[in-house]
Amino acid sequence: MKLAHLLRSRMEWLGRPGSTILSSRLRLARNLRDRRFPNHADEDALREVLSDAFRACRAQPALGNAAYVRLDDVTDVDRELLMERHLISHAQARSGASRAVVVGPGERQSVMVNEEDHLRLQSLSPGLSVQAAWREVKKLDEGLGKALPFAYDERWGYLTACPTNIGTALRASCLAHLPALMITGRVQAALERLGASGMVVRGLYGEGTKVLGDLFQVSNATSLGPSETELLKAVEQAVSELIDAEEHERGLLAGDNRKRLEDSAWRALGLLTHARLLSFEEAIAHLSRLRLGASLGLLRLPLDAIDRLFFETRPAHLQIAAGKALTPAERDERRAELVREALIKTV
Amino acid sequence: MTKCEQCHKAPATVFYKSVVNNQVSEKQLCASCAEGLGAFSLMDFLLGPRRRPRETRSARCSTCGYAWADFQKTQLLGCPDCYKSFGRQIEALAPKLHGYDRHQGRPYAAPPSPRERLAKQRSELHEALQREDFELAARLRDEIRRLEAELSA
Repeated sequence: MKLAHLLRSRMEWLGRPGSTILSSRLRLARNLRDRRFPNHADEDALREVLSDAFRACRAQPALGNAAYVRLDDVTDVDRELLMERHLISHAQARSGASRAVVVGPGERQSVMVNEEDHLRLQSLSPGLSVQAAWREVKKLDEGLGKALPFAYDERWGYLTACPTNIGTALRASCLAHLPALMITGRVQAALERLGASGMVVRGLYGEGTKVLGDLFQVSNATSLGPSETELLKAVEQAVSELIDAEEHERGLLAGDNRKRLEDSAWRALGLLTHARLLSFEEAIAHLSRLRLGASLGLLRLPLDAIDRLFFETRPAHLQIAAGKALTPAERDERRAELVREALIKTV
Repeated sequence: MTKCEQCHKAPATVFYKSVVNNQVSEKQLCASCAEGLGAFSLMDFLLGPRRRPRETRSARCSTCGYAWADFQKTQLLGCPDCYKSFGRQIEALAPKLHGYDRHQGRPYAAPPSPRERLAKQRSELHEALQREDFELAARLRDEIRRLEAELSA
């Protein structure tokens, strides 16, 4: 449980409490010029990439006093925590030597090493702020690109292990909370419009068609052709339209169904402040209703506390907070306790 | 009957429309010119997908030895040079994945390698000597010695 100190860090990128977009993320994929991609490289080669990457990162003021985490040095639960904080991906979390992540202060900037590509630079920022995240990650990219020779081709741009990522090798994503669209059933149409604007959308939690907590991740589908600025504009445009759609539905619900909305928000609060056992699915469903109610002013609650709970109720977060591994039943108990404590003092 | 736009000889039997780099282009072609474009194969159309010619299947990257067949299995390439070794395949694939066939974003220039830096300093030393700028030449000589030591380490 070596990452307990990470729990205390403030998740500075989680913000704009109550707004439809919780956070934005900019990711750049970069590879070193004369090295095999991680999937085709042997242990020695991966170790060399890791040492070059760490050396270059240490020279970046953008990363400040960063944590250098070798993933085979930490426990399974630690790796899960990093995944829950969106600092590493599923693929990265599986065991394998010479895989690492460098986490900058407040988790705003981070660099994944030896995931699908040698380096994945990432910048997180609160609310709808792809431009701000881009400015930050650009600085990091320029710094690292001077310290290391990136694989780049005039025709294909930045070269990546998967051809779906070449060109700008940029992926801009926004984390969106869409409870009103889900309630009215108009979410499908909104997602189709996103697809038509060149975006891909997936539920943040849950598999297949089940979306937990009404949380979605929207990102650009392609990376080759348009410039970085054009891609970002397209994402901002598509997400702005999504925000309008959600707020329109919220307005409708608050008008026609105000009492029903108020009831569901207060019921959620009642349950969350009194339950003794809470599964993640149940917790997040009620947190979503709570967030909707609070953002419409139907009940008074600190919105940032609710947003934090979306993450703190996750399994690895609970175990790290408890300081030990927990069975699913123990987690359900802890989760209920955590939620009660967080909400009851505010009621 | 309209003649093929490409060869102007055979009748046009294939109507080919593509969108690349935001430009729509339409061509009326005969079957063999369409096949030549790589976009359409009358054989594939009639027989369905079949084994690719041996040449493509056993294509390998000259740097890392990765096979195109491996890419087809994993959807991942072996090293940056694969983009050169499999140039033709990437050219056909990129527009299908991205709708564009070239990078038009920020350019990048890698930092010079120690060897490249050394070559540059040597040529600068040569110029400085020609100009009789002996002070600069002395500084460059020291820098070159340092780089040579670095390289042999």
